[in-house]
Amino acid sequence: MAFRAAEYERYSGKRTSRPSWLPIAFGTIQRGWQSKWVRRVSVLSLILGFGMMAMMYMVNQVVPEWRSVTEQAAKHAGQPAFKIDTSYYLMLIHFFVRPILLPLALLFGYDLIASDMRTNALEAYFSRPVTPLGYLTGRTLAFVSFLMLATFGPFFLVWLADIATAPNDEHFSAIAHVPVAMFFALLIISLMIALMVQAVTSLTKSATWSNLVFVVIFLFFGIMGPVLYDLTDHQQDMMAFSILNVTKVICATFLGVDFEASGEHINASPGAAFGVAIGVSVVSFLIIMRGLRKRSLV
Amino acid sequence: MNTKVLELEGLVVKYGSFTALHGVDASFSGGALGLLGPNGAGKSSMLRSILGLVAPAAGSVRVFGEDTKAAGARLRRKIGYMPERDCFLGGVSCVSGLSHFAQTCGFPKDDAMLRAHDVLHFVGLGEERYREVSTFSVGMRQRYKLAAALVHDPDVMFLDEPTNGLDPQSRMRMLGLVERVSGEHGIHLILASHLLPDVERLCNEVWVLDQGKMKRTASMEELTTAARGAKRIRIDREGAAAFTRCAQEEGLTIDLGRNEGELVVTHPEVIVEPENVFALARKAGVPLLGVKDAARSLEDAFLEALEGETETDGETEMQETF
Repeated sequence: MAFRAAEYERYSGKRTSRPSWLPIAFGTIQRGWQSKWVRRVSVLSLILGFGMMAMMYMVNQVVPEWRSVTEQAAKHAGQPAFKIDTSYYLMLIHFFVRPILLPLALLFGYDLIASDMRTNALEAYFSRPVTPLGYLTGRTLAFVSFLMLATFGPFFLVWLADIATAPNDEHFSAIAHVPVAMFFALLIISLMIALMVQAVTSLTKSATWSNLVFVVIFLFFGIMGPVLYDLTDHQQDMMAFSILNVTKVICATFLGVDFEASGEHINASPGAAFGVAIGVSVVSFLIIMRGLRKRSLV
Repeated sequence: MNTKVLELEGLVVKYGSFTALHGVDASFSGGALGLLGPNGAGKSSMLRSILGLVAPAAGSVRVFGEDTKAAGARLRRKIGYMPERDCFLGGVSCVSGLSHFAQTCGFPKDDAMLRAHDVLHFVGLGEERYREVSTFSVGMRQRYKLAAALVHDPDVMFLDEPTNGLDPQSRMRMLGLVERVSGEHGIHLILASHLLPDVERLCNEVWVLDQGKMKRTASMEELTTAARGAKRIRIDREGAAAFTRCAQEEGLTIDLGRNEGELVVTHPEVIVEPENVFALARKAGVPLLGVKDAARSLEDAFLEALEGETETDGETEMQETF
């Protein structure tokens, strides 16, 4: 057994010059991973991606012409032709955004700053070389990374399977831009949601209360858009008050999906959706910084 | 050039309309400094403004010659802060939390973990290092806070009421730890406390604060030996007048002591020896109940520094404390 003398010793090693937000980001990831439900939702999301990837591969092995077969079958049944294109990826990303990204944001972030306020950890951070901006950068970086892993990760796996089983170069060139477009769309959505959740948790020390406030915000943002749309004689931009519609429009804009062509009319314009996303992010950032600056100066 | 550890120039700290510090000027060259004052005197506000946790409304703070406004984050690598209230990372073990804090101060990951283990052994929490701090007792939390202040190997430590809530045994242990770090490893110490024996044991310099104003800055020696050479005697009430008369005839000065039946005998030029006091008592024909050196305790010096403010609540509170 190693023996360690109970005596104080000065540190003689070399200190690194890495930014102080980096250990905060790693610490936040570790902390998030400790949550059973965060692990379950993240792993489930990745399993879904692997499952879809495997299924696509196996179908392709058994019926190499499955794409044309499904198109013909849909045609005979009088349904719109099933085709893997950008609209399909828009539908797919919503499959990950709605049931995975939003609950994961809640599970990961509901207590992120509130817990540090309860235990006065903020005082411990800010009496060290950590600034409020550095603290927020570290926390947000970890938060966004988690959300991206659970959404972009499985999405990318499906895209890889699609590319691997692509029947021709034409299909490849039609969907080649999808990962980059989706990466930036999900980055904007994840950043907005991460900042919004943290803003709520920076308002109160109580995790239960911040959880409740967050749910109310989401309900409010979900209902507000359609209600205002009806009240204002069908002003489409009012849909931008629905967070879910904002995420949909942002993804569609990056993917280049035309809602008019697909017959979907009740959506906010890209300008309004991006405006709301930027507005929510900026206001959330200011709320967090105000809360943190109350506990620190620099 | 000898850089001062801490320099304050016209430091003003305000919380809304309430002024916690009124233009404080002082400097500390090194060693161990005690910040004394009644509750609400501004000790914690001073520490927090030095750390940058509270914005000064006016004035400047320099630590190791560098302005904290310009070099705040960099300077805080050199500062270890033990706050008065509990302060820890929730949901992680004690050693993981400390390792994380060390990493924010630039320690490589492995070194940070090793260091966290070492300081926890040093403060006597080696066996408890995998427990969460929220499960600790008051004494253990105080020792954890000391470990947290030490984990990044600071050059100066700010300790805010480090012995608060500790039983006498734990208090002695805590003071012993601080004394070892400060005395044997050259880490400067700034100790805010309203427990004068703690300050008297650890510090070589004292700043007395009251109602946000600096009342006195002096070395411990200067404060406690100002009356060296004087004698404090105990005498019964009937004999006091005769003794005073005889003493005054010999050119001695007699002051009333703080306790009943106590007189302080001083001579402006020479040291008063016990034999002189016994001779005076024989001459006055009164029995002496006790004679001792009248070197002041820190408590005397502290109360003198606060004189002029004796009608305030704060002073009353301090007298009750001791």
